[in-house]
Amino acid sequence: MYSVAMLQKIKMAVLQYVVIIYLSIAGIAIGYTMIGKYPHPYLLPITYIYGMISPYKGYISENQQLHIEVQVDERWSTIQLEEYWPTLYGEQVARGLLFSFQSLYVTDFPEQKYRELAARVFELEQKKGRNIQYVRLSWKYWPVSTESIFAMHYPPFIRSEFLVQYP
Amino acid sequence: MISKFIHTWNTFWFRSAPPHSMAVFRILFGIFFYIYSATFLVNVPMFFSDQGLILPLLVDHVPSWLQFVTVLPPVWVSYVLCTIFMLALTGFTFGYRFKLSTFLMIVIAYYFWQLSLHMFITSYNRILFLCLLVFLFSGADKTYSLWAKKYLGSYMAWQPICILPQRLITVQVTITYLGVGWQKWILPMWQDGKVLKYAFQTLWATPLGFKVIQLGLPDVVYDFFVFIIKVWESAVPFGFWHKKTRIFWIVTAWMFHLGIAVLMSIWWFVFLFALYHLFWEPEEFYTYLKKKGRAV
Repeated sequence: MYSVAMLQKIKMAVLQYVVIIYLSIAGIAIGYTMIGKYPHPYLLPITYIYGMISPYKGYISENQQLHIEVQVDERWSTIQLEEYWPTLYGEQVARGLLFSFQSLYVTDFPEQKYRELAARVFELEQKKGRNIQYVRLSWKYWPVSTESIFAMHYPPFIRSEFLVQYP
Repeated sequence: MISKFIHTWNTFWFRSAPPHSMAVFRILFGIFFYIYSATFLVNVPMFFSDQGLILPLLVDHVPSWLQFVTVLPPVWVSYVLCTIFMLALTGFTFGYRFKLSTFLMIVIAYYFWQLSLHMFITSYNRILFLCLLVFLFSGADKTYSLWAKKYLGSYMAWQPICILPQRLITVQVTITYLGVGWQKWILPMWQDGKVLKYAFQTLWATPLGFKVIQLGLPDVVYDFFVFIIKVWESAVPFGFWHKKTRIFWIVTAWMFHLGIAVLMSIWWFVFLFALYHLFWEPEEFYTYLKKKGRAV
């Protein structure tokens, strides 16, 4: 049987390891920030702490928004993003960029995940009873204005970048 | 020399201390979480159920026997989980069955995160989650809690706790400010004021941010403020630990995060207000509360 004193010693040793391991991981994460590199996603504890020391990187000189269109009876119509993502505009953009999949799959364009997103839209719209033929995802870009985010959100200022179509 | 270092190290990380600092953090953190949760509760089907446009993060990365956690739940399951979460949050905040409550919060929060919230990947969610993990072993319910009332006879009665959880949180906050500040000196986008200028009219801009832009201030003003932000963020992690000037740095931190909230609608970092008092030694904080008649 272990005595109370022995258990206290074991507990203390474990806590010492916790602190030393935590400080080591934090040190490596800071090291990654200093060399401007993103740690591999499988280095989970390091990427986790690295993610906690990430500065604001929302620097864009153009506004953008994920654009979801569905085709019903040969006619395309737009799905309002607020319907599915009832969040602030900035969060809608972040969600559309699929950042978490970018880092997990180590790619700037996780095409498969955009396909899955389009497939989800297809399924959800079908459930609503709409006879959907296709779903198309694209990015819309438009110039920044000092008036409001959507002040320049009309042709000919809108630029489009196709992402995926499903099926 | 070595024995002195070991003594200092052990005192800093592992000594027994009054629980009041962590208890106040627990209550303020709980209040923040009520507000934060409310932003999701109004749209549970869209955020956490099979009616939402969400993609589980781990779907390709968990063994087959764990795949059920990546299946989008029906709406009623999401509501049940949200209800359990809110009950656990109440237990957490009031210090009732604290470990069980914190554990349930961790499990459900992680489940919802990998289901949906990861799609808006943020540093604050990681810090919040780390805080929950630390709370699990913190003893933050050892005063100002239903536990204290039940087992010690009074809400204000207390038992000492290990200082380690408090240290882990303050060190992590220090590292966060330090790392963020450091990166701003080297990131190309932070080398002039444009990052700030665009921040007030893109992605996160608020009506107030647009009002600032409409003032038509020259670029040099934005350059200056970006420089000040970099200096401040590099200095504040040290300032928090400097007893004589700590209040100054904390007040500037409030101003900084409130400024970001009202000009850029990035409000979530106000949860940090709940933990700045952890930079005071727990014995000092306890003495202060005792003088004010808030502790026994």
